[in-house]
Amino acid sequence: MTGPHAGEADTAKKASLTGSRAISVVGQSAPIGPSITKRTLTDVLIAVLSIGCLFAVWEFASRTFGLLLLFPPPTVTLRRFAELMATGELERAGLFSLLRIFAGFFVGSLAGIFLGLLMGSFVNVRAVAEPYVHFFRFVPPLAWFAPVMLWFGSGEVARTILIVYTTIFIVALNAMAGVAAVPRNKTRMAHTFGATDAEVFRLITLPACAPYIFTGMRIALGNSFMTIVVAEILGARDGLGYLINNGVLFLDVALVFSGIIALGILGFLSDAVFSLLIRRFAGQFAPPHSTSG
Amino acid sequence: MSNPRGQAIQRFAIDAMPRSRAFFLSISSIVAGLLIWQISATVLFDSILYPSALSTLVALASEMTRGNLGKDLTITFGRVVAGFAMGSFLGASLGLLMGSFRSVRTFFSPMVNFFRFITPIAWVAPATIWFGIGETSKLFLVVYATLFIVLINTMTGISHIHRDRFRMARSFGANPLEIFWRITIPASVPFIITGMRIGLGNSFMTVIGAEMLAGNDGLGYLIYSSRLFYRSDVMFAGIILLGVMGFAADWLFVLLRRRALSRYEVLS
Repeated sequence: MTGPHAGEADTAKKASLTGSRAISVVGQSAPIGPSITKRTLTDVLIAVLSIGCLFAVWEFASRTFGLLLLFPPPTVTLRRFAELMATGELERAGLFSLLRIFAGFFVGSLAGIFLGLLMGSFVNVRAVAEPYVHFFRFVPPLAWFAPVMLWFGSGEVARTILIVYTTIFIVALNAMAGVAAVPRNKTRMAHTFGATDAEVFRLITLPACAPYIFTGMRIALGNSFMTIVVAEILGARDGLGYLINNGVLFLDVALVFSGIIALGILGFLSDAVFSLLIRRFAGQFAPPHSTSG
Repeated sequence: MSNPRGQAIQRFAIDAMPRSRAFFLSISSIVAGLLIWQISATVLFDSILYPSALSTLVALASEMTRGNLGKDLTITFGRVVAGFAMGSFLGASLGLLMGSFRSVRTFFSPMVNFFRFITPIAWVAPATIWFGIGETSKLFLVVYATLFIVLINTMTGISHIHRDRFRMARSFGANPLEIFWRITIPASVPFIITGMRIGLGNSFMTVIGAEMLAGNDGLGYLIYSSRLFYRSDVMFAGIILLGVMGFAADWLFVLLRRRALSRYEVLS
């Protein structure tokens, strides 16, 4: 009785380690029955069926209701997608959006980590900065769009600032929480053994904060995709947001869908690459279980 | 410098400072910030582009008394509340189903994993084409913004329940329905709440974006359209109101969680 159970737990673990996303793990309802290979095969079949169903319903709905223009079926959308890929239009737009996100994300993360570590380490800094951080984190980045456009025009600077704003507070708050979560006995121990402040920070605080910082960065990366779309719709000559907006203006919904799908794929890929990089280069600091959307 | 070790330990401890001093520092920091804002606005910059703290306050008061701001505020808040409630309910229900039944999970996982990476804002465009700029499209967007984060958190919650608890319940003769009602739901509540809190933030962001891109009322529209009339004081008043509203909503949420749901041991 224990044999098959242990085996299952192992494969579940392996499945989660090899990166099939966190959701498809852990079947807790003590499944007794078919062998493991048979079950993974069934899973794959059901997954294929799921995607198939989605496409079938989509195709069927748009064809029967005659909404080819307003709600293009997958065949039409995919053809348009392939067209855009062939002309290189989609790749170009995606590249522009990604570059914008990464520039802002990089600057914002650095600033956020710096601010958060300062706030976590020094009570004075925390008391001074906390009211602002708590106020601004409730003001969505998009609300700043209007003033930023007034001040900086509709150029790259404005968009980068919005992404930096999107990133900085969530990273700072997570870094601060990370510092607060360092067990006090650990720092006390290090001090007792004669470590200097700098050593304690480098050897204890920083490693202990890393998972928190990474979690914050991952959420910020997801939010950046939200900000960039609006920023590009409201004043850019390129990028996926611009492409989507063009689709709306010319009532080319297939183009809108293609842009959205490309955005989803890029979002997924950047999240996957980020997690992979953390696991590859900072595995010991990887957050235990990350559930960000 | 006489006792660097002792000072170091104090500095790393969060609660080393007396509360009164931390409070005083925070208050003076806010006052200093407002002063810097006021002085920099009156001395350095054009008041059309960068309104001072006082003129923002005046705009806030006058727009409030004229009823514009209050109206937009209610509209935006109503949209968030309606969509958030629906999205949370749908997300939690679907999450409970997906977490409890392997076949449901396997079936819906690919779809959920696809859609959760598409930001709600991207759907503004199709939603506007399909539903117009009215309430339906806003509701759709806010539901979408809430649904997936709540769903994923619910599922995570269920996957964190220890297997032994199910085994125990079964050996005491509980049927699947009882297990679902007495173990699965209570144990996943903290995770649902966490997801809802993140979803609330996303809802605000989405509704503001939707009102800016396609709308003719609400705070997002107010802020964005003020740009066209160079009323940056109204713009700032809207932004401040938005921050206050987001803060209040989050605070209410935390309060509710502490009051009503403390027995579920919600983690903060």
